[in-house]
Amino acid sequence: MDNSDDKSLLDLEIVASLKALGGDDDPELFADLVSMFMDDTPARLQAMDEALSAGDSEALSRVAHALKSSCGNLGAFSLAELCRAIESAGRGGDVDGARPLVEQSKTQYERVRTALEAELA
Amino acid sequence: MFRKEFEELKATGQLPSPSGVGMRILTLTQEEDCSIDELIETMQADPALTGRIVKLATSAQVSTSRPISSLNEAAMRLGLKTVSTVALGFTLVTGNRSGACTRFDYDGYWSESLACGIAASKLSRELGRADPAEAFTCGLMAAIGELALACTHPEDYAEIIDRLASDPGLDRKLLETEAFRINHCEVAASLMADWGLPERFQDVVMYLEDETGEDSLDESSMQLFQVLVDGAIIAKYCMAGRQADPVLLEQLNLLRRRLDAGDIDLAELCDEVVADWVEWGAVLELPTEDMAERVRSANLEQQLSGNKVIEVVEAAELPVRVLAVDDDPLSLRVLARHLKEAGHEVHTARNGREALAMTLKLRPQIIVTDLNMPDLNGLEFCKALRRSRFGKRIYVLLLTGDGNEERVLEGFEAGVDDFITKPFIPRVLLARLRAGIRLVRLQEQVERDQEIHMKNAMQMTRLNRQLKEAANTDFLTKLPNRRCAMAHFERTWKHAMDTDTPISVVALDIDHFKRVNDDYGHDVGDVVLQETSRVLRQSLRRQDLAARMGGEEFLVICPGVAVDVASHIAERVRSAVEENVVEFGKFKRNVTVSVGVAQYEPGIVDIDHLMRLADESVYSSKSGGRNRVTISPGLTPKLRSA
Repeated sequence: MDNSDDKSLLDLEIVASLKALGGDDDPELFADLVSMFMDDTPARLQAMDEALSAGDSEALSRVAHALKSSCGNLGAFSLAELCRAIESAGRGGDVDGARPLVEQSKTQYERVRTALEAELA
Repeated sequence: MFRKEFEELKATGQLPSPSGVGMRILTLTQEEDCSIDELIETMQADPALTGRIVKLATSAQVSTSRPISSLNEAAMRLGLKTVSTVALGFTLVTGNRSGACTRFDYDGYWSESLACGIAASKLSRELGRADPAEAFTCGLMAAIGELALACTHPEDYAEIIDRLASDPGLDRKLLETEAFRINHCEVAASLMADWGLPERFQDVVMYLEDETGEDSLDESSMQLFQVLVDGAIIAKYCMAGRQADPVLLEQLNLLRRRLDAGDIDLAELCDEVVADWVEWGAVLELPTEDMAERVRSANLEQQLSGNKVIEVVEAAELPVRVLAVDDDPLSLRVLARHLKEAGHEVHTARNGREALAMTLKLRPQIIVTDLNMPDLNGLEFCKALRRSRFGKRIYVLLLTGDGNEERVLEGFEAGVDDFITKPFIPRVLLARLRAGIRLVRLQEQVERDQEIHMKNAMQMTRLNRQLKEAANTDFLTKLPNRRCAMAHFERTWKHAMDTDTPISVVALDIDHFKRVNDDYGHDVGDVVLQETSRVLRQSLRRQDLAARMGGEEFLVICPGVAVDVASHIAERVRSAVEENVVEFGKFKRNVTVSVGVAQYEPGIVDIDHLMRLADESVYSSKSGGRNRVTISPGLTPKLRSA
């Protein structure tokens, strides 16, 4: 995996700026954000699976949108991009087209998680 | 409306109440046949109280003649009712100096109240508006509702005080009503009614914190209201001194301009108030001496000139109250952090519905909201906001997931002011926010200018009314003057002629007045005139008008009655004056009046003619030995005596 892929997996500049943003006033900010992300994302991925099997394209795009926001904030841009694609597929009613994207998201999330844990250590 | 709520407060048994002597005064004044002596005796039982009343009576004098030395004299000068009220006020201060509410600053409360009373009293004396002693007492008790709520609900009120301290933008009265279903102004008015204080007091404290309060008041309450509003501003300055904030300074600036019109210098007035404040603080054992340091070391002139309206561009850097709205907790946390980092006061909501409820409560100046949210999305939220009066003025910045032009246009149609796409670059977000703040500040300034404009216009109206009033009133006795009497007489005369109803006049002249003046001095002469006017006024029917025509001459116009009734009125006046002992300094005796009565009859050509007949009867009374009523024989004396 090359460097540019790393950067889109987790943008370290964003991570650094979030750590700096917390500063002295709110030193737990970054750790809080990561734990929010790890608490919420598995449930969202599961909700996407359920939307797929129910053929509920609207629910699918709504969940993808929410996850996209979180990813964008943390600098997990490739996962955010996947979410954007799922959201727009869902909006177009293309549940089948979204299925492989959801699968990719699960793998990508595991990689983001590992990268984030490394940042916390 | 809030009678029930007040009774509930009363039932707690914790309401502030006058202590010992005060309570006895209260009971006495509520008895019908309470005598002056009884009251004065009661007050004298408390030497400290007596001293305070005498001191106040001296400082509330209009002309700075001799100091007043006894309670009797104070009662004479101020009137018994006012002396009782003043006594009540003082016993309240001494009896309610601490309590269970941990957040309530009891000493601070009474010190500010004292400053308010002193300032209101000074303004009253300088401007010749309202009664200085009444202004003092009403100022001292104006905020009693706050003390009452702190005493009856110590814990809940502590919480309100804390909330107000953390967010000065909150409305105290609203918080109180939410918690107790009654606010401190209503409590104050109810307490005053309960204590039998003048109705004016109740009206004034009820509307004191109401911007449009004056519209609800009648003429006599209005004057008291005005000196109290201004007194409260000066009192705030006494407490804040060099720490006065821009809002207070702006109020002082307006006050200074208002006072300039009456040729009163605000800075000098403040100095005098502070000096009295310290002196009275010592008398009432309040720590005003220490507090005065803050205001003594301040320079009001400098503070006011330094308080130029802050430049708008500069103001864009000042913190604002922001409400951030996003359904994704993580995004919301980051957004709020960025806003806080820029120094703003940040509140958060997780959807449009929650945001709407918080907007009403918190009154944010700027809202940053996400577009896609369950339960009222960003656009629906914005539309709802723009439908409310307050929501129209808030600057709304919309966060959108994409730059889709259709969505953006939809946003502007819903009423958003600007948008920014996510994920946002923090510096861009803050730059856009500054543009919004600049707009908000400009709008606030326009509103403030308009308010100043409106206040000035109101001031002009009030001033005109006062001038008109002054032109019609005799300054010394507060009776209508000749000018006013003649205008009134013209109307009454015309009405009598038109409706063919009787009309009579009573003319009076104080006996040997010149001798009083020569023997006892003009001060005593003035008091005699004031006392005679008071007694005269009290002896009349509602529809009669008494006026001071000049010197020691008075006239009463009695519409609708012939000479039989008018002569009864005249006799009532004569005996009331005779029975009233005027006491001032070495002077202690009654005076008498010579009275003449005349009625209209065909053949009397005009008002002057009728007045001349009444005057001739006054001469008859004088030559007949004074202190008597003579009825004019009218135009046909021979026929009548036959």
